[in-house]
Amino acid sequence: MKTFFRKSKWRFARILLAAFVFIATCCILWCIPGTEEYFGIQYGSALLKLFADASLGAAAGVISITLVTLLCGRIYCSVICPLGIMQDILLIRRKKNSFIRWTGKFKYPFFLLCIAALLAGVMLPLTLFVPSANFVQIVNFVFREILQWTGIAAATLRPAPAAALAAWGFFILLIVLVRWKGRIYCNTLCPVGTLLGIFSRFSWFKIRIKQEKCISCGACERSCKAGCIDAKNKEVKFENCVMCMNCLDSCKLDALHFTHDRIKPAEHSPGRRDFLIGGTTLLGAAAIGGLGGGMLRKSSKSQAVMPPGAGTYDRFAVTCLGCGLCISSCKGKVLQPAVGQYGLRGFMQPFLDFEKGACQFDCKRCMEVCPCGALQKMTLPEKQQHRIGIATYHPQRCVAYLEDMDCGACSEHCPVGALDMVPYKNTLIPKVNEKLCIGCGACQNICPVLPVKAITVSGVSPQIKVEKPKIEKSQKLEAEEDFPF
Amino acid sequence: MDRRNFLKTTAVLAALGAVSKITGSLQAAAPAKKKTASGAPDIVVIRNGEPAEMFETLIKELGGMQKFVKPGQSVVIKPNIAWNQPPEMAANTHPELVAAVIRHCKAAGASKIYVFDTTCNFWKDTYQSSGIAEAAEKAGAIVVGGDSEKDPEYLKEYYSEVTIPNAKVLKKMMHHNLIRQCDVFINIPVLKVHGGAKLTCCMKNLMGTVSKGYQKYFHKHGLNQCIAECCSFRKPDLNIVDAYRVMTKRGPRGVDQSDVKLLRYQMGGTDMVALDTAGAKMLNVPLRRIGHIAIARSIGLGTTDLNSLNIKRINLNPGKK
Repeated sequence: MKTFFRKSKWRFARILLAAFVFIATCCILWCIPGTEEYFGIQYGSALLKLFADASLGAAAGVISITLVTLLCGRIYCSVICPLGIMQDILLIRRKKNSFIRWTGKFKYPFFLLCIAALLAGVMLPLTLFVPSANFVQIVNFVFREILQWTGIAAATLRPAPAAALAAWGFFILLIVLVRWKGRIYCNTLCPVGTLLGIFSRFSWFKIRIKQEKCISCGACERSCKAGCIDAKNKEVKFENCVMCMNCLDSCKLDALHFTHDRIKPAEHSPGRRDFLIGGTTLLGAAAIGGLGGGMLRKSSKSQAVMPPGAGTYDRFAVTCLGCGLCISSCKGKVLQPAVGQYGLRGFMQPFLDFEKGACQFDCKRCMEVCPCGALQKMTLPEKQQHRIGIATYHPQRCVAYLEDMDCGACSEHCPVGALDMVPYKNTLIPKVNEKLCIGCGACQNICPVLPVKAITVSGVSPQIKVEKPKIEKSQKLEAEEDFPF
Repeated sequence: MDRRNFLKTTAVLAALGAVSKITGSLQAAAPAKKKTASGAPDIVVIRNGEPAEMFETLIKELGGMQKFVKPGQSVVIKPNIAWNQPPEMAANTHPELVAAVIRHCKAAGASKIYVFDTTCNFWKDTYQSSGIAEAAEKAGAIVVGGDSEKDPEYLKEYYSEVTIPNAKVLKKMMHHNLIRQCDVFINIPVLKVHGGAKLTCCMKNLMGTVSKGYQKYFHKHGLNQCIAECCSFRKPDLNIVDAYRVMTKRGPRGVDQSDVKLLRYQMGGTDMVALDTAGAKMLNVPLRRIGHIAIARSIGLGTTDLNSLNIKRINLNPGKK
């Protein structure tokens, strides 16, 4: 009895911690606005952030998770990664597992493909497979949608069908994979899992099999959802272990231990050869892919508006993970996942859709929540002078120009006074002051002309600082002296 | 009254009328402002005071709040809370004035007092940054949110489509239910210039009783005609114009402090058109430029002839300029 308790407390602690983290993560995304910064500690995004802005917070996140992994394996995958915990939830009431021999053949080539694509300027594979990004996409575009059907919550995000479909597709793929082979996603497709797996090979504490006690009954193998225990050969492929601790409980003979004692010297790992083979082939492929990557790039015609702090199209393409955290925290409800706006490589990265909203003048939430440093932080006064786009007036569509009617809705909503109303016939029409316009899209959003607005905003790359609105003296009023009537 | 007395009175009145007519024509050349009011004024103009202080005088001159609000009646107050701007920018009605109006309604025995606006920026932001939500709640009013086009549930619950009789352009609109359900409707605009309508005063402020979607309809189908027709649907029982701070350029949102002037005025009355005309004079906007005032006059909503009105002018601090 005593032994039983000693072992199972590991598993119990894991479940408790994971449940807490999962509930907290869901609350952060759903119902506690102002806490989305938490996603910055997720390994994949923190690592990207480290490359994007070399910030101290990102470095701390990356180093601490790496150290934990070097100490005792991929604990991250079971208690911090929200997608991992979600898979564990999907695994409830599924019993049988078996050792998966072929994961190593696929995981390193795939991992290298992701890295090579990123080096070639294409973020897409990471967007689709980094777990924290996926989790946010699933919550935003799947769970929120389901909640809306049930009538509990009002619809808030209405993404383009292709973006919603991608999230739904991924979610369904995940369910299928999980019910079929357990945590196979984490050991084949997940770039974070593969990277942490490399570290966990060198972990100090590991799950180890005592050769003399083990009778190869296979109980542990069946309980292992990551498919990393080979009971026949009495081996644990620890790089695939997600530290669920299920196996510790399953062994009736006390042959499995979570320990730093080296019970058996490490053998030649088959993973290494795969890694090297895969690496060379894929780097070659990436070089070719990089040349052909132009097809994925944004066409020069498209001038999608990037969120503030994105810098240039090229920088944004390789720094934004497309998780959509900014989309769900956008106050103006203007951010939307891109489908083809940035070319295929920018699928799911956010752009400003002024038909849905406008960038709010006194909000900089997107920059604050961005977990991967794609949106560089700035102060509010800086953001208010930060040009993300520029307005263009199309008189041939404008009601004031065509029908000689007073309108001025665009000028009315401009927060920087960049739309001067100039006389035209009997009315006034807007004139864009290109020195002041920051491209917030308030004008396009409010323009009453349909279906194509009479004032449109197109993106700029690079984003630049504009002039401060000039302080002009106003005319003297008679009323200041005495009653004017 | 016997016959002799009747004749006497008539004669005296006729004589008075003749005299006033002569003096009136004599005064035509002189500025209208020299004319002093006697009897119940049509418009009261106060200057050189704080918003709440000016309102005390203003409502006393208009006959007290009990003249407009009877005990047990429900009141809707419609200030301008359209923009996410602080009170110093004068993009929204001054919160102290809103609070003062609420206090007077309460004292007059109003059963329920609602405050709301259909805002341009998100209502949760504008209600807070304008200081109106806090001031109104403190004074004892019920603060009701407004449609900002992002809240379809809210739109469904609080707005209904109404038909406007005799309208040429704006035949239908989504109108806030409270305006039709209340007994007394008080309009408290802030005076400012406006890029499209040229002037925001009583009439333009009533555009805030219409849903956001229909506000776009206004802009698309002739802003001025629609504003005037919208105002013909339910005329406010009382209008108070906040001109404590006025926006003299880059209105209606304003960009920086240079757009705002501290004018320390307040006007009140029942005739929207007359008050808008007065407001245009105050901001020095040529009347011919403001389309909705002319249309409102032509459909009989009020007068633009300030000389024909009894205007009471009070300077609370004559020492100050």
